[in-house]
Amino acid sequence: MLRPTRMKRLQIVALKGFRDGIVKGLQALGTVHLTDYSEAINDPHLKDLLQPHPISPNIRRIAAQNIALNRLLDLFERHDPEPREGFIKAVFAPLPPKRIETEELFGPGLLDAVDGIIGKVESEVAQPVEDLERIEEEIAEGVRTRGLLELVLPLDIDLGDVGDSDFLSVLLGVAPKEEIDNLRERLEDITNNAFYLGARETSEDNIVTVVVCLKEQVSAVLPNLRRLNWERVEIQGLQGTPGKAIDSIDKRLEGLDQEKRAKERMIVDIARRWKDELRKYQELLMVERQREENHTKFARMEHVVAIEGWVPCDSVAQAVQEIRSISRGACVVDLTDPDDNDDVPVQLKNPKFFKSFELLTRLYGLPAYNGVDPTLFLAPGFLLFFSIMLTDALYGLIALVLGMLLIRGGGKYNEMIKDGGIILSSAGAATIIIGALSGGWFGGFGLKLPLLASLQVFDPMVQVTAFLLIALIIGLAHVNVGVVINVAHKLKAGQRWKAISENLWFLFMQPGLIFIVSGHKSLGLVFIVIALILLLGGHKAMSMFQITGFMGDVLSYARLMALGLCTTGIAMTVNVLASMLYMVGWLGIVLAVIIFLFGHLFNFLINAMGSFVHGLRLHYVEFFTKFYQSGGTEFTPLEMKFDTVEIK
Amino acid sequence: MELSSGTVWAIIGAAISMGLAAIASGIGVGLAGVAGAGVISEDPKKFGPVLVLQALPQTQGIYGFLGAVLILIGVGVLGGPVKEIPIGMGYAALGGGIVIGLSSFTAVAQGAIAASGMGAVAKRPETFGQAIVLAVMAETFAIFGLLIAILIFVGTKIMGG
Repeated sequence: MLRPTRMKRLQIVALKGFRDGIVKGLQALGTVHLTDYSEAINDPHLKDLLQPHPISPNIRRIAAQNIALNRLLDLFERHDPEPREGFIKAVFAPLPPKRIETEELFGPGLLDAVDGIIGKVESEVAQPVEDLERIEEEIAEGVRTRGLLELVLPLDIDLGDVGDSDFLSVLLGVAPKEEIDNLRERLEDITNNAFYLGARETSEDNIVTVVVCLKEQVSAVLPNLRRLNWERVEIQGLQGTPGKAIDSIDKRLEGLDQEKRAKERMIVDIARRWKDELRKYQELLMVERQREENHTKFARMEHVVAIEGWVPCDSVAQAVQEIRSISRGACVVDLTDPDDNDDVPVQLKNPKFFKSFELLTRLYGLPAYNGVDPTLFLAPGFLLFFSIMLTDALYGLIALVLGMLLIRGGGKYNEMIKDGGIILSSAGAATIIIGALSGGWFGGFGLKLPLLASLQVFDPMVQVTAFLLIALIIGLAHVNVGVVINVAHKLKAGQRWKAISENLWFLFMQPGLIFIVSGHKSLGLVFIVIALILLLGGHKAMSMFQITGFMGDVLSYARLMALGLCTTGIAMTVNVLASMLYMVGWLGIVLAVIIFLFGHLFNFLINAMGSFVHGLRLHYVEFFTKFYQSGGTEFTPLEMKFDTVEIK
Repeated sequence: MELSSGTVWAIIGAAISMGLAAIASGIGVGLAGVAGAGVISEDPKKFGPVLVLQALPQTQGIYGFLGAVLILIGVGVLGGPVKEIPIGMGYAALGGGIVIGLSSFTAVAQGAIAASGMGAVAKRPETFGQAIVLAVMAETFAIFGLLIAILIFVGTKIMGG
C-alpha cells in the first residue's frame, strides 16, 4: 500500500549440478524475478573469477520442436477450426476455458516425449496431406482444362486429332472476330495455300479456330498468327468432341471432390485425436523454454553457477528454504537491500477492491520502486470525478449493470475484464448517488416521481455558478492532496530540502490569501511571505510559472462542471425532442419512444467515455504531476504459467 | 409569427455554435479516421483502440450541439413558447455561440494527435492510455470555451433565468 512491494536482492551461488533443480524450484514458486549477472561479470574485481554462462544447448532443439508443433497445429486449425466466440459473448458470457490435465513433464523427458509425439503425428498425417495435395493439384488442372474446353466447345472435332502427326499439325486457337480475313491471308502467304482454317463464332466477340498446316511450317505459322491476336488453346491427351471431353472431366472432378472430402475427414479425425495433446506439449515446452533461456543471465565458475534476482520480502524465507533444500545445503544464498542505483522491479500491492484500480495506474506507467503507488488515492478520486461528470442516476445504473455483467461473465476467467467490471460497476454506483442528489434520472424525466424529486438537493442547470465553485473547490482539494503526498513522501525519504522547496509554498499561500480576505491582514501576510520565500528559494526565476501552473491545474477541474452540464443538457434535449414528438399522434409516440431510448443510450455512451478519459486526465495531468515518479520496471517472476494445462 | 431581432441574433448564435463545431469535429474525426484505416489495414484487431481514439475529436461537435440547444431552449425556440428577448441578450447568445464554435477548432489538432496516437498504438499497444491522454490535452480549451459560453448564458439570464 502506498509503496510498491519491498524487495530483496537474492544472490545464489550453487554447484553446477543443482542449477536446473534450483531454477525449476524457483519457477514453481513463481516469486523470483531473475536479473542479468553481466554487470557483475564486467566488474574488474570479478572479471577473472566469473564468466558468462553459455546458452543452453536445448534452446535450439526446443525452437525446432516449437516450429514443428506450430506447423501441425496450424494444419489442424485449417482443417478443423476451433469455434470462435463473438466479442459480446466472449466479454459477457464466455464458455469456460478448456482445461487439459497432465502429469508434470520437464527436462530431457519432456523433450524426448515431444520428439516422440511430433514423429507419431507427422507420420500419421503425412500420407493424407500428401494425397490431399495431389488431389487438389488434379482438381486445379481439371478445372483449367475444362476452361479451355469451354473455349473450343463450338468446334465439332475429335480432340484426338489435335496436335502433331507425321506430316501435319492441328492447332486450336481463339482470335477476335474481325481478324478472320487477316488470319486467312496470312496463312495463305506463309503456307503457300497448304492450310485449312475452320472457324466458329463463340458467344462473345471471338471466334474459335482450327488451323491445319504442314508440321514443318508450324514454327513460322505460330508467331505470325499470334501477331494477329490469335491465342493458342493447348489441349492434349483428350479424345472425342469438346462436349464429351467436358462431360468426362466433370465426372472426374466429381470423383476427385469426393476423394478430397474423404482425405479432409481423415485429417480432421487425426486433428481431433491429437490437437489437445499437441497443445499440451506446446505449453509445457514454453515453460521449459523460459527456464532454459534464463541461463544466459547467469554467471559461472569452474564448478559453480551464480544466479541473481529480486524477491518480495514476504517471500524471502520460502525461496531461501526451497533453494537450500534443493541444493542440500551446498549453496551460498545472500540477501541484500537494494541501493539507490538499483533498477528494482515493481510489484503493486493494494487491498482487494483497490487492486482493480491498478489497471488505471498501469495505464499511465508503473511507479518507480522508491516512488508512491497512487492507486489508493486514484480510486476514490476517479469515482468522484466520473460520477460528477456523468451526473445521472439511471446512466449510473446502466454502468453498474454493465459492470456486474462483466464481472459475472468474462471476469470469471479473465482478470483484466474483472478489474474493468469492478471499476465500471463502482463508478456506476457512485454515479447513482451523485445523480440522485443532482436530480438526474434520464435528465429531468424521473423527477415526475415525487420520491425521486425529493432526493434532489442540487440542480446543476439552475445553480450553475455554485456548480462551478464546487468543481473548483474539489480541484483545489485534490491538488492539495497531491502536494501533501509529495511533502510527506520526500520527508520520509529524507529529502528535506526537496520536501519544502518543491511545492510546499502552495499550502502556505492559500491560508495567507484567506486570512487577508477575511480581514486578518498581518497574519495573512506572514503566510504569504513564507510562501514566497519557499517559492523563490525552490524555483528561482521559474517561480512565476509555478503560480500560473497551479492556477491552470485548479481551473482545469472546471471541466467537472462543464461535462456534468453537458450530460444533463443533452439528456434534457433528448427529453424535449421526445416530448415534442409525443404530441403528434401514434406515429409520433412510436418515434418519441425510439428517440428517447436511443438518445439516452447515445448520451450515456458518449459521456461515459468522456467522464472516463477526463477523470483519468485530471489524475494523470493535474494530480500525478505533484508527486508521481513513474518509470518502474514490471516485476515478472519466473513462473509456471499455463493457458490450458493443469498439472495434476 | 414575427420574431424579435434579439431572438434572431440568438438563433444565429446557435447556428454558429453547431455549424463551426460540426466542421471542426468533422475535420478532426476525418484526420483520425484516415490514420485509423491505415492501422486496421495492417492489423484489424486494433479496431477497438482505433475507434476510441477516433471518437475523441467528436466531443467538440457535442459541445457545439449543447451550446446551440441551450440557446434555443433559452429563447424558447425549443420547448417553446418563443420569448421576446432584448437585442442585447441576443448579442450575448451570439457571443456564446461564437466562443463555442471557434474553440471547437481544437478538434482539428486533437484529430491530428489521435492519428499519431494510433501509429503509436499500432506499434506498441500498451501506449493506448498515454495516447488518449495526449489527445485529451487538446480538448481542454474547448471545455474552457464551453465554460465561458455557459457563464455568458447564466450571466445574461439566457440560462436559468
